[in-house]
Amino acid sequence: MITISINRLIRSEYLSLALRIYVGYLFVYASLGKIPHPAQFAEVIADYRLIPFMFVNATAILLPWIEFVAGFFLIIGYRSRGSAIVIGMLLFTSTVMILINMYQAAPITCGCYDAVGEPIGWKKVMENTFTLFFSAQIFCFDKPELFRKLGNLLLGSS
Amino acid sequence: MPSILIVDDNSQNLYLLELILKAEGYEVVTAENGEEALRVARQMVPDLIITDIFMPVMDGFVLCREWKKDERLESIPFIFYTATYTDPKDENYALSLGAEVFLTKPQEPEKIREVVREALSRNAGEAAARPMDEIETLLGYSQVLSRKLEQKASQLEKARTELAEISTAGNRPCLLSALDFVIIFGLSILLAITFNISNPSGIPFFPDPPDKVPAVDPFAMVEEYRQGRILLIDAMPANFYNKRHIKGAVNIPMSLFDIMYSINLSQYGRDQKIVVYGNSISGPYDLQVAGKLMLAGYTDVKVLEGGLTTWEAMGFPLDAKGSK
Repeated sequence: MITISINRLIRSEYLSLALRIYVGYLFVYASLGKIPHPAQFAEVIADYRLIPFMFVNATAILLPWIEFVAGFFLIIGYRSRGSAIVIGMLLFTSTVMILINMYQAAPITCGCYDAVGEPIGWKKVMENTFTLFFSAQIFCFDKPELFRKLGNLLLGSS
Repeated sequence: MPSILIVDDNSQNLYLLELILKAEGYEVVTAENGEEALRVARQMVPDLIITDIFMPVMDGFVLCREWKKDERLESIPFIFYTATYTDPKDENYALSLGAEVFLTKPQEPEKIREVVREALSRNAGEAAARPMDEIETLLGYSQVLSRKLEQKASQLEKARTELAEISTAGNRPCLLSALDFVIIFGLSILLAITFNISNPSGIPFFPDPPDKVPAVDPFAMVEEYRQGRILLIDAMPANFYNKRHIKGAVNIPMSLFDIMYSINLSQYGRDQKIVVYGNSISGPYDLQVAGKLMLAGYTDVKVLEGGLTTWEAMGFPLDAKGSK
């Protein structure tokens, strides 16, 4: 009985809605701290020592905007499955980069929620992993009918 | 040869059974439902009957009941052969009606032949269970039917749910559309470029590589280093924390350049030989620090070829904390 309830909860579209808003808010919030300060964020990216010098600046400029757009789309439910995939890819990549630097014992900061961020560590890896699961739930069980209905309402079609 | 009446509303099943029995040399007569089977049986009186249960007009159970009521037919062996009523309770009920054998579909031809042989060889009247009285028969019949009805209703409900799920899935957009990524990345790039242009703290998309600084081979400088005539500067930011330096090197990461410069280099003259090392895929830190030193007026500034890795590989001295 409990297993069935948990299974039903995991597959619930209402849980998807809640997670969409949570993950979307998280990424919009994270991006807003980085968008105005690309230079600081570029230094954090360079500290990871995994992205070639020529692409550090471009990454520092683009990445926060990708976070913002994907997070915003998740909140409003537009292209939510694609956004969940993009966010999942960002989380997976950042987790791998954090793990590599943890293995090398590099004392760097993650640059997650602002241009500098907190030090990397297992806490950060766990946070990313949980958010990755949330993205997977959104991808699998989100139903974007709400946005479609809203669009139909605004456009006046049936 | 003995004659066998086979009853089934499915023509394919009927044909298959007919083939199997005819191959054994039996004379086979067919009927498509219970009522037709009774009519045929009363005309020609077969030696055995094999019947399906789930049939239109008259089903197998009613046929068996009527069969066992008929004085001319009651001693003829009766075999149920069904794919629908497979529950043990159904079997019990079928046997309680007086049937000799209850078989579930499908069966191997050999098994069918064997069952037929056995049924024909024994005295059907003795072997069969005594049929129940009328009330018991009807009660059992209604139970069997209600059970089957429940099963069918459950199957129907399951099919309905599956259909609804398929229908919902059909309404959903396909798993992933390339357009999703085009929109997300396209919009992000557009916003990033326009905002970066208008942002007073904006940075160039692709940084200018630092000016070239002359490089020096570790072998060429190691003698002067041992004599203490070269000042080594570690430009790697991470080394500031984990203190993994060439022995005697001063760590001046770019971000702390001004402070560390005034602490460590104020006593050296502008003609001091300086070798800077430390770079990574993401940062030519040695070139940046060397460039800054040259701007500060130092004339003999070089970068170490291969950096710390080559130095270490050649077995030249490292700080105690840096030594492995």
